Amino acid sequence: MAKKDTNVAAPALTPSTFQILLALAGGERHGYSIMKEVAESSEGGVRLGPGTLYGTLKRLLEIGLVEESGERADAETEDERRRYYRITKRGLTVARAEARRLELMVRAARQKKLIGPARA
Amino acid sequence: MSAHETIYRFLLRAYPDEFRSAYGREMEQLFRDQRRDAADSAVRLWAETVWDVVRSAPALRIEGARARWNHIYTRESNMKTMAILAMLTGIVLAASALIEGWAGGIGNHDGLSLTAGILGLLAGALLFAAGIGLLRQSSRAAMRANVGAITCLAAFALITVAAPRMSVLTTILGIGFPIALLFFLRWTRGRGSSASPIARV
Repeated sequence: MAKKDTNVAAPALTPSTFQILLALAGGERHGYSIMKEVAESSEGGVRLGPGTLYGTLKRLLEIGLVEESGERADAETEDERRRYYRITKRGLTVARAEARRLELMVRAARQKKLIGPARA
Repeated sequence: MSAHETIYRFLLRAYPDEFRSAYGREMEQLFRDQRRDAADSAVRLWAETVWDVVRSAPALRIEGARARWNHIYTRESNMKTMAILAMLTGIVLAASALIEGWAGGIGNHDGLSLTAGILGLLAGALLFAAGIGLLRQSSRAAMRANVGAITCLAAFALITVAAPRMSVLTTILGIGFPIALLFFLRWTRGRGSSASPIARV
């Protein structure tokens, strides 16, 4: 019998975890870049502090959803060297599963008229 | 380094050492970036920063302590400890059964004492064998340990009821330890696999 992948089926990432995976789904980033991307994409709804950001990144690194991709200076600011992070294949799978789960919830909320129709 | 950065560096002491050594430099760097981009709202930045430390540092400390605990008390090390205890108890039981039962039986021509001694000796040997099985961590170790513990328990229950010739201490050890071993084996059976790590992130 095929072994069921319980990790992918695992429910409900925390909002900050999902936001970090979303930010990294667009390409590798350093800590501050992740923080800014999360604040922008959530329209200021999720504001990660350094402790929450690096605490979550540490856990994501430990379970292989994110990996380090080297240390270099920011291409835009060209200031200090920074450590960059990128999402792994497994991280993408988990983020997709979470996005699908949220999509189903939003669809159900729409059917119950808790929120309006999707904006074009 | 500005006073803000000095205070932030001090606040970082709230985090576990290993976390600080891995991410402390990046956190300071990030705090500098935040200050640069929020120069006109320092009070808000500090309020958010303090709240972030209060929220995340204890969780990381608890997580670190739990990881250390799990590292020390792994299933394997528990198994090893229990195996050694089983072997030692087996030796003690066998020796005391030999001394109390057999010597008493020969000296007093008491058949029941002799039988109790032989049963106790066998029970101790079984417990010792169960310990060796657990120590080797063979595929059937748990099953053998279960059989050893149950047989030892049955032997000492029989001795206690039919021929109460053993000392109180030997009887308690002969009945108490197999029960503890059985509980331990049942407890470790459910701890072989942990829950999905993703559920906690």
